[in-house]
This record gives sequence, structure tokens and C-alpha cells, in this order.
Amino acid sequence: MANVATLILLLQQTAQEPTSFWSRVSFNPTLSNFLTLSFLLFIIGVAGVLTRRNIIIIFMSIEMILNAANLNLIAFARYWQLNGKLSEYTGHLFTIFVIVVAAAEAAIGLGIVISLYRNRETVAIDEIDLLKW
Amino acid sequence: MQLQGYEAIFFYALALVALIMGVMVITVRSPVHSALFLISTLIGIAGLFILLRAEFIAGVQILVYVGGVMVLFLFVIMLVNVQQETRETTQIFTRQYVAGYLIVGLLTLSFLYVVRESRNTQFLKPPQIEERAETTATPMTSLSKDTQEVGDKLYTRAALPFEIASVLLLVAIVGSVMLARGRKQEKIFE
Amino acid sequence: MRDKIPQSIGDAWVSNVIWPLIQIAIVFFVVLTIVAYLTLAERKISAWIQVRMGPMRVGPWGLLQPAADGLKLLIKEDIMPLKADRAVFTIAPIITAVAAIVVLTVLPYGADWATITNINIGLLFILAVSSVGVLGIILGGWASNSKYPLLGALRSSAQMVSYEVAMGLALMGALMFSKTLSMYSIVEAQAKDQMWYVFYQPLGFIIYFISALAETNRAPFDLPEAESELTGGFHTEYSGFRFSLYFIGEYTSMFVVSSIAVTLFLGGWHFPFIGLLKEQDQTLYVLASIVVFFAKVILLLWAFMWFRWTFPRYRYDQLMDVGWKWLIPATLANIVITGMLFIVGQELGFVQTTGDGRVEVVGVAGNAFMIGTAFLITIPATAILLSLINRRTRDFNLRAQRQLQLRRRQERIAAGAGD
Repeated sequence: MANVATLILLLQQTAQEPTSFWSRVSFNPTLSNFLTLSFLLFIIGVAGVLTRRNIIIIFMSIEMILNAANLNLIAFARYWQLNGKLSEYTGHLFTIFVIVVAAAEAAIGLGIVISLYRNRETVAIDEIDLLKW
Repeated sequence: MQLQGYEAIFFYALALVALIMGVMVITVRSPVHSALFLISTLIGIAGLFILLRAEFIAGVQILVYVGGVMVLFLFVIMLVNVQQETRETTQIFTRQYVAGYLIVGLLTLSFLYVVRESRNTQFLKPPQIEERAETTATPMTSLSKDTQEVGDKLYTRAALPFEIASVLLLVAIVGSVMLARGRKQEKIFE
Repeated sequence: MRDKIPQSIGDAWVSNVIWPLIQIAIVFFVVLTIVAYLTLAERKISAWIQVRMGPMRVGPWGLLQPAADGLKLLIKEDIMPLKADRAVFTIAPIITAVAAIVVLTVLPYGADWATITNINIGLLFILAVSSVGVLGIILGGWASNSKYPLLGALRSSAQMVSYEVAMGLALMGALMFSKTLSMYSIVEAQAKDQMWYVFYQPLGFIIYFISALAETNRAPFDLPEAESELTGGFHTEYSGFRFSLYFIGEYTSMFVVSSIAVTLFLGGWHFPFIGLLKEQDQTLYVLASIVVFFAKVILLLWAFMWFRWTFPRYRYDQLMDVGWKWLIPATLANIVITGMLFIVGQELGFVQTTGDGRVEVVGVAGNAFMIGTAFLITIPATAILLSLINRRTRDFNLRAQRQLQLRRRQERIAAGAGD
């Protein structure tokens, strides 16, 4: 319901804009461009997780989600570096830890996939439905 | 923060590469091809990191993600080599793919709404400090101090998360060895 | 030319695009020629070790043999297995070759203008791109759609990934002295310290060299590509130019790891009295530094060839044992002990940090301290640690294990006889 409400709000605001889109646009990338790119990569990852059947491809989409988050963090770190705080490396540190956690999670997840394959002879999530009603 | 000139061209090129490869990751049939496209995406993102002056993170991304995690993925794909999937008749999308794309669409709407709202409100005004940090075009002569600074902060400000991360990696190593060991090998060790 | 800030657009074009392109072309052709002659050198050196002459037919003393080999591989039929994955089969050797060649851009071949570029994460870039090279081997083995290449590829890549860890950690010891990742600055640091880091880190150099041998699938670690073991390993199904791409990749990465060893441990392009040339003639100085660099690299490459025919091949489990249980603990011990020696040295006044954050060893006494402790403390401590860790390994301490086995057998016989 909330998303339908936002859709309606969006349409209302589009109808009320004072200046046209083309007079305001600038092609030099700013922080918003990086955030948009990070969001697009994120939703590609989410689409992969929700629609694919093969577990390993789902894992790869999760890695893409984590990378989108990393891009976001580093873009903000650079923004802060350029706008006052000369040594702002919090984004970099957080990214290092995200990479570490992603590597650990990939290792264990793939170990689970191997165990699963040994027991069920399949990696399609549709067919791993023993607990289904 | 505005990128000028060649950096803008590089941004658009790398962003296009990352997005196209990303879409190919979730749409091709064979897992090995998917892994290769993911590697290209990761290298594209590493290029974007370099554009954002985070060279150390870019190097770590390629070393750890591409050279470690993706190699692990490729090993597992080859061990779990399900040949039947690459035949034309098996499904690669779940039966709920419509719902998946619908959720993605709703997420996009939320994002657009947030972007619209953030243009109207002033969240964090960047502090008005007179001396700016270096502009986006650094002169050729100076080597940036990114690695030194990251290392410095990692071992002073982030020392506790660093130690926790090393314990996490130890747990991951032991756990994955245990998971992938198999019953026959367990009997040998007992 | 590298250090000038461009004053105009034309100047920027020349110093950022045209001059690097010329440098890249020169380096590319020089290194590929070296790679081609490495194949000849391998056959010649192995022949001389085996008291025979090697290829003598093609040119004077066989010097045109690489040309003949290259021509032969180019005109061979290009076979692709029936059910192989065409795209991946094509791309795999390209990945290996490109990953090895890309690294050539950051190596410091000489003084001032003799490096293509000097990035501040040079060493990290090299390690990262070398890990991408492993992918080419895995994909090549898988794309051949056949048992032996797949097994060979999995073994080979597992070996390379294991020894990459040891390689990176062994470099840490030298990095603790130079405090920078940029390859050019590492050589400058050694020039400033007037000491090659091999004397400060002998253990690091030895471990790095062994890991480099394993990383390039050479010498005693070449089980995955030995013809008598796995019918050629991952490159069984490759023929013609794709096969030669794999070997270009392998020999180029041999050149690259030797260059890294030379840069980090053997002083790069620096030679004790080369600074005297600097005052006289700048160009001569740079050319002399290039000659010194290549001479050192050729020395290490000769050592690579020499080791191949000196040591017997490691079995695969022995190989993985050496990588994980011997080299990695040794490198970690090296780093820890070096760090402790820094602190002790600072207390004793032998070591001090300079203004720009670099660590400097003070005078002859300081150098004697660092070198002496490196040989007298690091190596024995690491040896003790390794023997403690590996006491129960199958191939170590064989006498104790044999006695244990005999004792157990006697117990079993006594228990069986007592029933």
C-alpha cells in the first residue's frame, strides 16, 4: 500500500515542476550518479536472488548486492573528503570489512552448497522442498 | 563533487560496463558464463573505485573478490557440474519470476521517491570550510597517500573490528572445511 | 619526462598518451623477445646440465630456434574439442597471457623515465593481476570438456592460489623496510638506505623465490603440467597459437616474478656506484640502470632453469603441505620477528623513523644489528617453529614415525597373542 501511495505522490510532483528537466540537467557525474549506479546494481542483484533457480547464481547475485553497497560507501567517503573532512576514510574501512564478511560468507555458503549437492544431487532451489506441506 | 573531463567519460564507460555485465550475470544459462560476467562487473566496480581515489580498496577488491571468491565459485561450479542445465529445455528462472520483477519495480519507485524528496529538503549541509581538499585532478607528481591512511586508520580506529574480522575468518575456515569434508573422510579421521 | 606537470593540452597529450604508448611498445617487444629466447634458454640450459648441446641446427648455435618454434605454432591446425564451450575455450588463454603482460606496466626497469608508470599501489596491483591469471587456467581446463585437463586445471589453480598467500606474505617483510607499495619508490628506498633488502630479509627472499617457483608452475612444483603425470594438464586440448598464448603467459609471469624479486630484494636498478654516473650524464645513468635491472632479472631466470633440473618433482600432497604448513607459518614468523626487531632496534638506537615516516637504520652498527639478527635470530626461530608444527607430518621426522609404527605393531601382536 505504501508503494502505491508513493507512486501517486510521484505523479503529482512530476506534474507540478516549475523548470523543465532539460534545462537543469548536467552531464558531469556527481554523487547522485554514483548512488544511482549503486542502486541499479543493487536491484539487479535483488532480481537475481528472487528469480533464478540455481543456488550458485543466487550467491553471485548476493555478491553483487554487497558490491553495490561498497560502491555507495566509497562514493560517500570521497564526497566527504572533497567537502571538508580531509581524512575521511570511514567508508574505506567499512568497505574492507564488507569484503571480509562477503568472502567468509561465500566460503561457508559454498560449503553448504557442496553438502547439499552430495545429499540431494541437485542445485535447483525448486527441488529442495522436503519441508514443504 | 563533480567529475570533469576524462573522468566523466571513464565514469560513464565503467558504469555502462558494470550494468550490462550485471544484467548478463542474472540472465545467461550457464553458471560458468555467469561467473565470468560477474568477474567483469567486479573489475568494472574496481575501476570506479580508482576513479573515486580509493586505490587500495580497488586492489583489495581484485585480489580478494576476483582472485579469491570468484576462483572459489568457479571451483564449486565445476564440482557441482550440472550438465543438464545447459540444455535448452530446463528452466533457469523460478516460477515466481513475475513476483520478483514486481518487487524490483516497487523498490525502484521507492528509490525515485527518496531522490525526489531529498532534493526538496536540506539534510546535511557540507561544512563551509575554506580550504578544500585536492580537486579531482591531482597533479602527476604526487603519489597519493591513500594506502598509508587506510592502514593507519585500520589499525588505530578500527582495531577491534579488525580483530573480530580475523576471528570471523577463522570460523569461516574451520566451518567450510567441516562442511565440505564428507562422510567417508570423517570416518578416516575417527 | 615522467615528473613534469603538463603545461598545456599538447604537452599533456604527449606526456600522458604518446610517450607512454612509445614506452609500452618498446617494453612489449623487448619482453616478448626475452620470453621467446627464454624458451631457447630453457632448452639450452637443460641441455648443458645434461651434458649435451641443445638445439644447434636452426641458426648459429641454435639462436633462431624461437623463430622456428613460433612459426610452427602459428601454422598448426587449430583444434577445438567437439563439446567444448567455444567462447570460454577461446578466452581462457587470453586471460592468462593478458594478466601476465599487464603487469609489465608498473615494473621499474630503470631510473627516471624508464618506467611506464608509477602508481602508488604498484605491488598490490601486481599481486591482484597475478591472481586474475589463475582464472585463465581454471577456465582452460573446464572448457576443454575432458577429464585430464579438468583435473590438471583444478590441481594447478589450487597450487597457485595456495602459494599466492605465501608470496604476498613474504613480500611483507621487505615492505616493512620500504614503507611504500610503489615499485619505483621501493627501489629508491633501497638506494637511500644503501642496502639491498635481501640482506635484511634473507628468509623472505628464499620463501618468495620458492613461492614464485610454485606460482608459475615451474621447477619442482610442476606436477600439474608434467607430461608423464596428467598428459599435459590443462593445456592438453590446446594447439597452435592458443597453446603458445599459455606459454607466453607462463614465461612472462616468470619474468614478472623475477622482476618483483629483483625490485624488492635485490635492489632493482640500483648498483653500488651507479650514483657516480648520475652526475656525469643523465641518459647514460638511465641506460646503465636498465642494463643492471635486466642483468639481475636474467640471473634469477637462470636460477629458475637451474632449479628445474636439480630437484625432483614434488608429489601433489607434498606440494600443498609445503605451501600451507611450511611456507605460510614461516612468513608469518618472519613478519612478527621483523616487527619485534624494529622495536628492539628503536630501543637500542639502531633504528629511527625519519621525517617522511620511513624507517632508517642508523650507521654501520645498525646495519650489522639488522643483518646479524636476520641471519641469527629469524632463521633459527622459524626453523624451530616449523619443526614444532610439522612434527607429525608424514614426510617429516620419518624415523620417529617408523619407530611408532613398529611399536604399535608389537602392541597389536602382543594383544592378539594374549587373547
